Amino acid sequence: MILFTIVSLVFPLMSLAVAVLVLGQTVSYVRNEVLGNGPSTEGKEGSL
Amino acid sequence: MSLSTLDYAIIIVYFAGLALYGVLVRRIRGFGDYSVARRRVPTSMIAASLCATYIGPGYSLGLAGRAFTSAYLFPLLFLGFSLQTVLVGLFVAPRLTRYQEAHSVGDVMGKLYGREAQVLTGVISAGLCAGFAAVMARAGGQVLAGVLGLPLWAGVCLVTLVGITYTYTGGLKSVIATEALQFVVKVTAVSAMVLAARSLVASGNQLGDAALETTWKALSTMKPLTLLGLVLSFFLGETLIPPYANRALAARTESSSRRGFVLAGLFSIVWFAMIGAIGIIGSRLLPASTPEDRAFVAVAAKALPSGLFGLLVAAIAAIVMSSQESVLNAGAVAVTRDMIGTLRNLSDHGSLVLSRLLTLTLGLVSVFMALRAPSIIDGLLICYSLWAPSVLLPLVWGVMGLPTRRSTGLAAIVGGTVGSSLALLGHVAGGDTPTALVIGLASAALAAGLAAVVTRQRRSA
Repeated sequence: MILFTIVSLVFPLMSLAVAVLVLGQTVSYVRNEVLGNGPSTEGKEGSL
Repeated sequence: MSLSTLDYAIIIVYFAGLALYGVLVRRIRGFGDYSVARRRVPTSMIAASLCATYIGPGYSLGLAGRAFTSAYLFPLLFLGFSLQTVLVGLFVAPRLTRYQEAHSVGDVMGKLYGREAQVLTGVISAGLCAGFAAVMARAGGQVLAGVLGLPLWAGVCLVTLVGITYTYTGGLKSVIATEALQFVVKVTAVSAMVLAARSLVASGNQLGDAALETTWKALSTMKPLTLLGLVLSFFLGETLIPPYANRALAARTESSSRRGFVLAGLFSIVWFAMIGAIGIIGSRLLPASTPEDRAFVAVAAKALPSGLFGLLVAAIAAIVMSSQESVLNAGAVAVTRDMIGTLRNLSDHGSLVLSRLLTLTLGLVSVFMALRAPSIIDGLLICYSLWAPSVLLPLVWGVMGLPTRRSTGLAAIVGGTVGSSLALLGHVAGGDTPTALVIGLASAALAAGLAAVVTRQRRSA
């Protein structure tokens, strides 16, 4: 039962949190590297 | 499995948004953008794009189908991939990032074992990428055909056409930016699907007991050599295949390469568990006669309300497209750099134009192959049994800094390819695909060993 709860409840919620984080990082990458706007992302390796 | 108006609306909004996003990010300044994204990709994007690439039809629709028929067996075997990705991240990918002049796996092999090894790696890489693209096109085509009522060939052509358009215009830089967004869509839709599907099963305990019984049953019918082949296939089969290796080459630093691979490997554990759960829940909800590759969509149709099912269909399109984009890009770069680039000097602009044309060609080849491809997992296993025995052994050996000789590298590539091809064609071990990988690896090791002995004897004589 615990395994079922982890896989079917905890993992999906964790994944949704990861998706939100990646969305933020993608916006930053597209702005800085692909479109060439905004400050450089050099030295920001600590995030995620 | 029919779509409501809301589902159609969500799919249209998704594709319109993707097209708009595509226009925004499709800026290419040269071959360096197309092949390795100017080597400026940070950790988060390396991890997200690796996840988006490995979460293809095999690691979603295919795995759910195998969990539907054999419960925990395949989700557990897939953990070999997770372990491999973490190990590659810790020990191999950062070393690969040091090859600052390389644009492809073949470039690295060329530096380690000479031009012939580069050309052979290019041929194998291109064939492998076309094979992967075919498996993905077939899987995506099947889903589209089922949902939209199209014939299979039309679904395959539609999926591949979108993949070609994205890769043709974008290259790796835009592929990575698009993949990260598609990763978000896939993860959101599949997480929602797992949460919805869990509410349809009364008891987790009963489900777990039945799944355990099914797992033992599936395991007991498997020959030991086939099981060993499957373990090795999922551990080695996708190790440093061209699209993954290209991300290591595109990483900004060794540290971002290491962390990107490790994070992607860890996330795959969570992903395989969720997809396995979908298949196992499906074994309770669906008739046993459901074809395994359709189990994923069938569970979604039962579990998801109108609107969310549309998002799931969009996510399946994302699953196919993001993986297909990566393999088409990697295949085109392999032919440009490792086959044509070794025969004549190409300018940056010439390489870019050629890569785009090759993307188109590989896409068309993959359509023809897709119409003859077997089930998703079987198709992937064939690709695995060709890659790991041929290129992987000499690549990892050389990248780890062990002594390399031109003759041993070539012998390993040729020996592994011949061994696994003979096994796949049924001349050895009755054509059992997982066994072909074991035979191919043994042939590669034997051929390299023999070449080393002969070279040493010649030198001492």
